[in-house]
Amino acid sequence: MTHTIIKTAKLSKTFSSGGQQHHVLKNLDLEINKGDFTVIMGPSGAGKTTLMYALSGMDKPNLGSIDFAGQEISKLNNDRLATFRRKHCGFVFQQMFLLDNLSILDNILAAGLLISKDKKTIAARAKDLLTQVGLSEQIWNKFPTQLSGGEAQRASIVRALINQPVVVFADEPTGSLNSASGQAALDVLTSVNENGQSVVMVTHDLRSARRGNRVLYIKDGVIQGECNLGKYVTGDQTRRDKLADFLNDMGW
Amino acid sequence: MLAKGNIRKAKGQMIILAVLFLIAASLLIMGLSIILGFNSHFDELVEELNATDTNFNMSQFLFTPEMEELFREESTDFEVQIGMHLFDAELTWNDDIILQGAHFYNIADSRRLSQWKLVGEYRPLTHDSVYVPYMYHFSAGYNLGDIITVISGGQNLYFTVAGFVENIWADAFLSPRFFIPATRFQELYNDFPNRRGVYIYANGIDNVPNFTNLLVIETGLGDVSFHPDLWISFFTLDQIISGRTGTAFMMSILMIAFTAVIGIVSILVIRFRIKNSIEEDMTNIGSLMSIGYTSRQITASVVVQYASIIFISVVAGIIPAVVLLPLVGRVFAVLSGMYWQPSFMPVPALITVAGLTALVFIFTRISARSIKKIAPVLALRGSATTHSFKRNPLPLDRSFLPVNASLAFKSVLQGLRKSAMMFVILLAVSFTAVVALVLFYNSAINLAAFEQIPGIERANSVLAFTDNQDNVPFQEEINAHPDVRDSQFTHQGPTTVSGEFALYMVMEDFSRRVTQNVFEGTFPRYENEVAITWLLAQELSVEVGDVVYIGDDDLPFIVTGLLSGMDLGQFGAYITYEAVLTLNPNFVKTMLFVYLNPGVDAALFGQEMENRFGDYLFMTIDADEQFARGVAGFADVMSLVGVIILVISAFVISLVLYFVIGSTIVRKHRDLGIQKAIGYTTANLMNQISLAFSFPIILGGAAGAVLGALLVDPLMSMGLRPMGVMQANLILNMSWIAVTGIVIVVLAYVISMLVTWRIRKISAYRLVTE
Repeated sequence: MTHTIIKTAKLSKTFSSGGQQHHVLKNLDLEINKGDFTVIMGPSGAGKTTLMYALSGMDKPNLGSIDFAGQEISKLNNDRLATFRRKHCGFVFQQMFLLDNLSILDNILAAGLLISKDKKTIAARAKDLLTQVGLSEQIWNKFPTQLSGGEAQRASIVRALINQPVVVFADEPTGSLNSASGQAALDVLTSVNENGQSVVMVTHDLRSARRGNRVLYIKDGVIQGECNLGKYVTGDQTRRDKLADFLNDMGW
Repeated sequence: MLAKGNIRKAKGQMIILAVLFLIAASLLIMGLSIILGFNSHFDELVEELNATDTNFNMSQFLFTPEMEELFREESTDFEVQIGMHLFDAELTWNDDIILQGAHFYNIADSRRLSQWKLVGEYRPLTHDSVYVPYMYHFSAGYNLGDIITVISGGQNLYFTVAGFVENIWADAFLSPRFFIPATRFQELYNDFPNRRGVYIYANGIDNVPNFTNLLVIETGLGDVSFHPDLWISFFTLDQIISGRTGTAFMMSILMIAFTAVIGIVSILVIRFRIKNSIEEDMTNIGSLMSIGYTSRQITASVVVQYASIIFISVVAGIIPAVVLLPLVGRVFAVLSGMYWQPSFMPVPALITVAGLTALVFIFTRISARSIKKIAPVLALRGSATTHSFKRNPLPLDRSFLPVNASLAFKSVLQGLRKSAMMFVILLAVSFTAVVALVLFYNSAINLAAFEQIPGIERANSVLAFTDNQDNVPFQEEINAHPDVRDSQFTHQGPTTVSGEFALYMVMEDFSRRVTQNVFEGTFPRYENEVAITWLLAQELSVEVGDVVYIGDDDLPFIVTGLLSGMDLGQFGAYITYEAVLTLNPNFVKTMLFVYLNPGVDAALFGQEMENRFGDYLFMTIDADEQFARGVAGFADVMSLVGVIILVISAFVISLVLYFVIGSTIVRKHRDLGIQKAIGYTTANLMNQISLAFSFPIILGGAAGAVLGALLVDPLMSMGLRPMGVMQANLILNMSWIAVTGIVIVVLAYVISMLVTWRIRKISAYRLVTE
């Protein structure tokens, strides 16, 4: 039985620029299910990033509601949203956004210690996760500028996971990585999803999108359609074709 | 063009820098104007009035043809004038009647040396009118047509103020010198034969103390215990200059020292700003380099940006200085009794504008040196940073602090240069604030230290008995008075100490003195012991334990202590009652210091004594009132300066914190956005930044306060040393100092919280979507 963790109703977001109103999201009704690897695709300016950050409580909609794990978050103030995010959301950004003045381990603990005072447990969990994503002990005390892009992205995935969030939100996580590093980052996300972690990822990269079991296509602020790809299996040609057909249908 | 763009971009911060330099420039211009203007004004006055090196005054009875011959032999030029010295005169001063004594001169006696001049409006003298010292207008508010009453020898003399005079020898705290018409002078001359005085203005005397010693020997005064009609005094021009301009000089030094503090703070802030802006603008610098700008051109744009703004603000600083200088002039007129109307002086303004702009130019060039090392490609990628983190202090998994505090302290330890800068700024400002506070406290709240600084004994009332009878029984009677807690006979007179002219003071028991002005050793207790002023000890090259020779017979005395202060002038000696009898067996106790219970009115007590002792009492002095008047002007100015420095300190701290924390937020914009994204609230981040700043703020504030508390007294003592003051012994009210330190830290914290409040506007969303 599927269990909905995020549900939006009539979600709208408008930006003003130069005296003009831009309706980026238009009355979206959407459900994100627990354990899903949901991919949001769409052309540039379609509203996919805006949608993801609205769902994650990073930004507030102008209209509509967002029920996240039983909590209506669209009306929360910024500080309540921050508190909400630290417990419920993990973020993986295209530019990683690690704090340059903190070591890799401290970057992760800076997030982890926000919700737990048990330093030992959090540190042990951080080290365990770092090891799981292939980051050896030698680099735990290095600074982000001393890491390769792939290593930094894997570290940022660990930061996103440290608080065992309800959903990990990933915004073009392979966007600034080379092919091998991108694959490695995706492998980590797939792996955590296989362990039951819900993931919502925005991408315009086909190879990345194939990792999801559900692909939403958004255009002009409206979800045009969705495609269920089922469980990810490496090298599954049918999956690739199915996604390609879906995107063709959507006018990709 | 580049510089213009930079200025536009950092408008707010440039305004703060401009304000800081405007304050510094104004203070510096005023300080220099006072040093140059006030002193040169005095020098010009000395020249204009043909002031002599020395002025000797004595009873007409003492001035003999032999004495005139002495002047003829020792002096290159001198002039003698007859005047009247009503030393028991009580005068109206504002609404009070005070004992001040007064000198009267015949306006018709024109003087060639040490002349006087009228300042401001005046009227011709009539029989009942008088020209009074300018300070009567300034300090007491007398105007033309006002009446001054002089009470002397049981007579009330009324004078109408017809003008105000400037006269080099009219010290603000000495007896005033009045000029009256010949007819009125003749009346005084006839009515007060025992008050006739001779005033000698002399140039070119080689050794004034020795010459004075010769005069004293000539008068035979050393053998006289006390006689009101026999008096002698002398002043050197140096004494008058130091007395009349010393405080002004100290004030201007304070102003310049404070300017230096603001200057240091501003330079540190500029350095910080430049380093920050280079990091913030790394990509722009890369773009400029890629299109052909050289690092020299970019550096020049930074230099021009700061130097031009500072130049404008420093030039603008001339305006408040010009506006405030007349007010400062009024303050110094009160202190010096001198008619000084400062006006804009180009030299201090030029020095200030050129000096501060050059300083900024040099420091900006030094601070912008790192632009040279930037590689354009790295800068364009944004991967060239002037700061690379190498150490990982306070790892979060091992820190015992909560995460927000750990992150705050981490940033302190990683940004040690910035922390050191904040430390130095807070140290400098809180040091200045504490010095200002101590000055204010001692001049406005508790004047006990200022009472002690001059070293003059602070009896509440002084009773001068005549020497026709044994006055000891009167003392016993006075001691029985319920308002009296103690009394002691005392006396001052001229003598020689190892050949140097000096004044001696005798007391029955020095340990009962209120003013404990021995700074090394002890007061004399036995007949062969003496305590001497520090200046005299310096002159004679003697220390505690050495022997000096006192009086005409050169009797040996052991120096038991060194005296601080201006009691007895520069050269003075304290000896016991037994000792004075060996010097002068005819000595009679006449002058009684009376110490009253707290709250007793010394004026009323004096009145009561006059009624009780009648003719036995030559005069009474309300020492409380005399002291209060003596320190009033000085205390007012000190407290005003203290308050101004405190206010400016608070303002400077606010500006600097606004500037530095504001810059930090701009620089950490990205990191703050990331932290917000992963769940830190605005309050978390505000506390992190404020805590990070609190560390150097608290340390710097505390260090500055402690340093201020430790150094204020030595600094004050050093400033007063030329006047013989070895220890100011300022009262350090630790709770006030602690409160000042706490207020500075709390103020800094509140400002940092207010400035960091803008973090709420930083959008994590905008950061990730930009």
